[in-house]
Amino acid sequence: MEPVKTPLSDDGVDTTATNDIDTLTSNSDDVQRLHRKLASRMFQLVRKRDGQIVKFDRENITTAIFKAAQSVGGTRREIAEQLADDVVLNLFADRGSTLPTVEEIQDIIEKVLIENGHAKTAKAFILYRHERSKRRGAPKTRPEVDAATKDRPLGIDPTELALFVRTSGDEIAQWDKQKMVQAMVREAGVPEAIAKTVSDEVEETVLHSNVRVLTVSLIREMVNAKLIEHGFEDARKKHARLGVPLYDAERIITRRNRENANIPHNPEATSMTLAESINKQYGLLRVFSEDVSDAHARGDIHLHDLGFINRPYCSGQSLEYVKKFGLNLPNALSIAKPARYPETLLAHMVKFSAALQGHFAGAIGWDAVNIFFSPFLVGLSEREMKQMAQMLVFEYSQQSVARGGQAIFSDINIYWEVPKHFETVEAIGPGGEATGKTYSEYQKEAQRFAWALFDVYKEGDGTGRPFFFPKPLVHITEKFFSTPGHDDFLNHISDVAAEKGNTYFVFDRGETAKISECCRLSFKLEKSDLEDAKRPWRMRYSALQNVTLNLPRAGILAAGDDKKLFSILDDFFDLAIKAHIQKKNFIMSLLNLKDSGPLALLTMEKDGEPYLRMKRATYLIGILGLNELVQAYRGEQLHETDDAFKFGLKVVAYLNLKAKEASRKYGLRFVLEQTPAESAAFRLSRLDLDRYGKKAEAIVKGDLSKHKTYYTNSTFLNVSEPINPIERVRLEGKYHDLIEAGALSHVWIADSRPSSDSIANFVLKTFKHTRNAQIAFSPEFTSCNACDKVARGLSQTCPFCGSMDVDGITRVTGYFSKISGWNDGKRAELADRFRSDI
Amino acid sequence: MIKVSVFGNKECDACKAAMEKIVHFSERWGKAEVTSIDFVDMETPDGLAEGAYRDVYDIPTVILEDGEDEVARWIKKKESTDEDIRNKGIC
Ligand SMILES: [Zn+2]
Repeated sequence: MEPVKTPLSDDGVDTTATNDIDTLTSNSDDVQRLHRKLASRMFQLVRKRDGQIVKFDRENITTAIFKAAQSVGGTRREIAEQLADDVVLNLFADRGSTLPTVEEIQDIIEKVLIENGHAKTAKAFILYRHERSKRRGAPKTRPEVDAATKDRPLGIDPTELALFVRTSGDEIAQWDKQKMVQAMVREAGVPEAIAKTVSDEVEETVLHSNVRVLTVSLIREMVNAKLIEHGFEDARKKHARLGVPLYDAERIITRRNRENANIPHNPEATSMTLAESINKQYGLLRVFSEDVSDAHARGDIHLHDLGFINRPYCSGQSLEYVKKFGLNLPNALSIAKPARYPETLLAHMVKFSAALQGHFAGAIGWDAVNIFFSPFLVGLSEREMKQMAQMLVFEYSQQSVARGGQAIFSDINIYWEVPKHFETVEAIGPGGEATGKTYSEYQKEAQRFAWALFDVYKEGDGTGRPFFFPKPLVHITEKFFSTPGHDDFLNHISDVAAEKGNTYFVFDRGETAKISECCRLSFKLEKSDLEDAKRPWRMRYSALQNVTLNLPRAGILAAGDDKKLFSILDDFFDLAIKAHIQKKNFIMSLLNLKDSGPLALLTMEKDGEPYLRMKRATYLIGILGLNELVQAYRGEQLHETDDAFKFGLKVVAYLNLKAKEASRKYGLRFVLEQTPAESAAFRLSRLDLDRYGKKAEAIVKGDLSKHKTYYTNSTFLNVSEPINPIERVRLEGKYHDLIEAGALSHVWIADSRPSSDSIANFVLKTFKHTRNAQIAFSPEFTSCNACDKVARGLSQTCPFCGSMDVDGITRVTGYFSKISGWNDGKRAELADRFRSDI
Repeated sequence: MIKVSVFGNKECDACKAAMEKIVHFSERWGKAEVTSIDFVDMETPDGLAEGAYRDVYDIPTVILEDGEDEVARWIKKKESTDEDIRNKGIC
């Protein structure tokens, strides 16, 4: 067969392809296609003469060849395409996939043209190159110079590729000034004329700089800088870009987060921390007004959980909800009907908790867990009961697959007695059906379950460490003392308190029913709540947000002037209220999106009301460092004189009344909270040291020389003072009636191991002779990672095997955690804590 | 030498009644017995702080003191309604 000659152009230079066999023809087409495909994937970038990196495009090579061919009369672009493929393959053969330069590409184009016999075209191309390089000698003035060369007849036009930008969408895009203009107009409402001027200026800067690779964030910052120059500060904010510096990102990825001791160190936690940092910036820019955000940054107030700006703070609920409605969550892949067996109910409870954890920043609390479980526990043997209790505790404490690899911050409320408000409530049993009995009739099962739960807590985990979650809160009401077996139960839970520290003793004195929900938020049940108690699935409560006042700062600034002190407190308080309303509005805007919004779960209406009952929401005003306020203001700490102590009460009373006034004014429930203050106690002390120097040095606690400082939590007395524990509990308790959320006293028992009797006595005394709302006993442990044994007390080495690979464990604020995860402020506080045997 | 403190607030009728009763009793006891009768308004910061310091958690509460010693304390007990709770100094 005759070889087929294919003229590229009429200059007489032909290229030939041999097609001896028909089948080979189609095969070689395939090969061609494959080659092209390969070639287009081989290089993505090209280094330009001036060092800029631009996108590689085979089309540019084709065009260059074709334009050269056209200039000598060529007409067939497809030939140029084949040659371009050849160029790419040659490039690859020469360089592998390393970045080629424009020069190298052009050299190869010449070579390929000559080798393939396209002499005229090659000549035209060589001349073009020469002309270009001569012209390149002249300096560039404006971008228009490059733009003017765009339509030159020959070659790869560098200006088409002049500037490339790495976009947030992971791509390299061409420099396009218009995109800047559009973004300014669309995102920030900048007048188009100004936007054009700004974009011209930015372009000019870019062209005169030695910037090699531009990123969109860099361009954005350049635009922002120009916007400031032109006096468009507001527009600059709207046009801001959120993100983290590389340095921070690397630290977050490689190091442990010490802001919150409940966050483990793993990839999920890293992702959460990275996301938190964006959420935080978003919140400060968009959710809160400038004065509020500034007040937070300055440290007048502390906005908690900014990293979780898109959700409410904490949630308290009843197991009845899960029992009645099963597990039927919006956007879920499957729906579970109401449970028929205790194991299923437990699974529903845990799954639902995990879902809730993804929708709230803080704790997930469950009311009267043993009471509501009881109809499912009828007839269970001791072993089965223990098994259920074990499953419950382990399921919660091992949920490290949940949000950010964190365990679910969970509370379970437990009663020995059936509390009055549930006595006559119709019990819900298997299948979500009423059993025809009241909860009073299940008291025995409820008690057996409560007992079994504490058996589990007493044993601890597989190595004998205390369980960190769920936190068991035992409510002691007046009825407790008339309920048979209460002595034994008190002894049992006191034993657990002495051995492992888990037990929280919550005191519900008087005849008024109280409920203790998330974040140790407890409140008296009003008439409407008591109505809800008849249908307990309705009992869902949430604290929407927590804003803490920097009390010590008010003390410093007032400089002994009464009027000034309270006026500063007014200012801080008003900012906190404003912050609450702004956050609430933001959450409302998300809730209003209903099913299509991110909080769809909280809008589901199974009982005629959304899951999150905004009408019943609470807004927490956290108080931090009362002790240091009084110290700064009067030169005495709370425990030092009666007057100082009383003055502290006056400050809290003042804030309590202000919260009531604000509640009336805005129709929202504002209450004071003892701030958990894991990071705030540290952060605010640092900010005050920076700002007020010696005045702050005089009051901050901790180790100043090592910058490990803190403020005393909430209304606590100085933790380092050797105050008799019962006296501490009595004195601190005087604040508790004024603080509806989180009121608690700690007894740091450390390495001592009191008898269960002495704990029980302590508890009884506290109930009967103080107003303290809640107490917990905190032992300390050393857990060895080498031999898996657990010893009492904190030590640097394992007392059993001598290993240094040990974890110290105790309560950071309201929960147990490993000390290695604590921030410097909390470590300093730990060192200061006065430990006592009781 | 008895010092009497009545903890309440201005809007609460039971508090007013308690105050009137105390005044009435003290007249019968004679001036030598009762040296002072104070009404502590729990709706003020000072009053609320005083109440908290003295472990007063419900109103009206009447405390009788002889010098430093508390000799008697009467606490009004009743079913709380929503309205009462809202009106109380502490809720
Ligand atoms: Zn060991």
